[in-house]
Amino acid sequence: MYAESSTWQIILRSRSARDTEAIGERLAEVLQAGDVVALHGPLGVGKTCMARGIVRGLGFAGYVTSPSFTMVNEYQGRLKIYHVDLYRVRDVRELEGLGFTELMWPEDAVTLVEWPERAQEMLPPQALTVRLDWVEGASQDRWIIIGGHGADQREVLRRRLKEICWCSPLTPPDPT
Amino acid sequence: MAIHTLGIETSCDETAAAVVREGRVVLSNVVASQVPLHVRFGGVVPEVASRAHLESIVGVVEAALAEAGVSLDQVDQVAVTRGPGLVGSLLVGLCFGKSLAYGRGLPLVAVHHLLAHVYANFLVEDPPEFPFVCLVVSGGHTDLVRVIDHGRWEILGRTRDDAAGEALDKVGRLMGLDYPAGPAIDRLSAGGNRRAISFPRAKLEPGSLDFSFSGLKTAAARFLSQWTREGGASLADVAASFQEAVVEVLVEKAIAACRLTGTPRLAGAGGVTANRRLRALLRERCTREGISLYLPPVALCTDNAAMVASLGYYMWRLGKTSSWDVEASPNLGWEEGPT
Repeated sequence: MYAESSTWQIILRSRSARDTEAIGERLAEVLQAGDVVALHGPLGVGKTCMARGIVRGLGFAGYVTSPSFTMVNEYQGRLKIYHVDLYRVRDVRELEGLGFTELMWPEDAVTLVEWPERAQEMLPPQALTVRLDWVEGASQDRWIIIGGHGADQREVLRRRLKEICWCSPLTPPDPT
Repeated sequence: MAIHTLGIETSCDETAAAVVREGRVVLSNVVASQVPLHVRFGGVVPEVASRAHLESIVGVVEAALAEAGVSLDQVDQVAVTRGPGLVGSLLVGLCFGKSLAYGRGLPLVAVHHLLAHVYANFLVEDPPEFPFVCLVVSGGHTDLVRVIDHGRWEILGRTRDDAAGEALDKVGRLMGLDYPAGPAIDRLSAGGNRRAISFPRAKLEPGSLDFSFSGLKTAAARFLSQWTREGGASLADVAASFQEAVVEVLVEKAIAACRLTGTPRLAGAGGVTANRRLRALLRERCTREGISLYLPPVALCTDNAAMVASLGYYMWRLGKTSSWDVEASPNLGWEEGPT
């Protein structure tokens, strides 16, 4: 469970699908070739919406749709983006021989993974994690928790995100 | 001499082969479904799918030839799906088709799976005249296209997030229905009240023929997380109300596409057109609007190789055959041409 052990977290509150997409666009600004973003959260919470924001932020202007059917969509922005969806995967062994290891260790691309918990052991330890969850009592709102490793990335990201939404004050990550 | 096309289709979870005469007459249509295999896993498993295709393809092609009473010597060209679909699955059919065509010295036509769905409409007695609007709706795609001529079309609208079939499948699973959950929702809905719960219909901006199902999916997920059996609405009511929201948007946008383009002919294509409520509502609305409706029989709506053979035949006639280095293309878009 390497990818669970972030060294920092930023907690955000999105007020709409548009907000979630905008947060994705800002997150894209700190991404570089080789980065992997794991998008966790229940069905319908907005993972594809967040992925769409990231893909737009990386400079691709076309349609960004759910990759559940083909499992991988490819986009070319300022970087190449692989948008992976493991919804249908029940066992990580199903992915052997399909080139998923390469997707999880991209050299010249950014990889976004929906339903990453279906193949947790394939995720690289330095992956950024984004957790989306419902906000009880506010049907449009979402909690978004971004976890990562490099302190510089956190500072830049937090500064940019604070401009558009509520952002948790800097606190040490939850010890659990 | 009549022209015989051998069609091969392996883009997802069906291994299929068919022989079609003159692009129109289905001599055989063999589909080896992997559904029972995938039920165990709760969905299509890519690695399992490719292995199953490998195991069954030779037998399926032999069965298609035998059933048609056509020998390999009488086959004039080989048509095979090259995308979109699961890469491992596509590769099995494409490599098989390529090798067969190469070995027999036959033209190869590697075709677009979604356009092939449209060609199911040419396999029935009374095909639509050009131009016609086609609603292509499946587990992976939801598109409105205007088909102008063989191999010529324009995109009128497409989904901005989830495909209709995907929304039906995912919400069906949340309801505890088994894979494939789309047909299960269809069955369950028959005994439910379509007006029991009011789920949102995404209309998008005025004049847009695009679709969006993610908001509806979210609303259904939220509803189900709070829903209790004792609360009044039965599971059948939830299924029927949710299905109605999906189907209504599909039908209204398809009708709008006909109206906006001045096209009085509407065809259906793709696995979701097997949905009984979609077929009924399309019939009802088209009658009222004076639009001629074309719906292939269910066996030709779901993935099959007869539609692939039909498209392959027409593309061969246009000289659009494929080179030996044609590749499987899992994300093949409408823009990339028929072959």
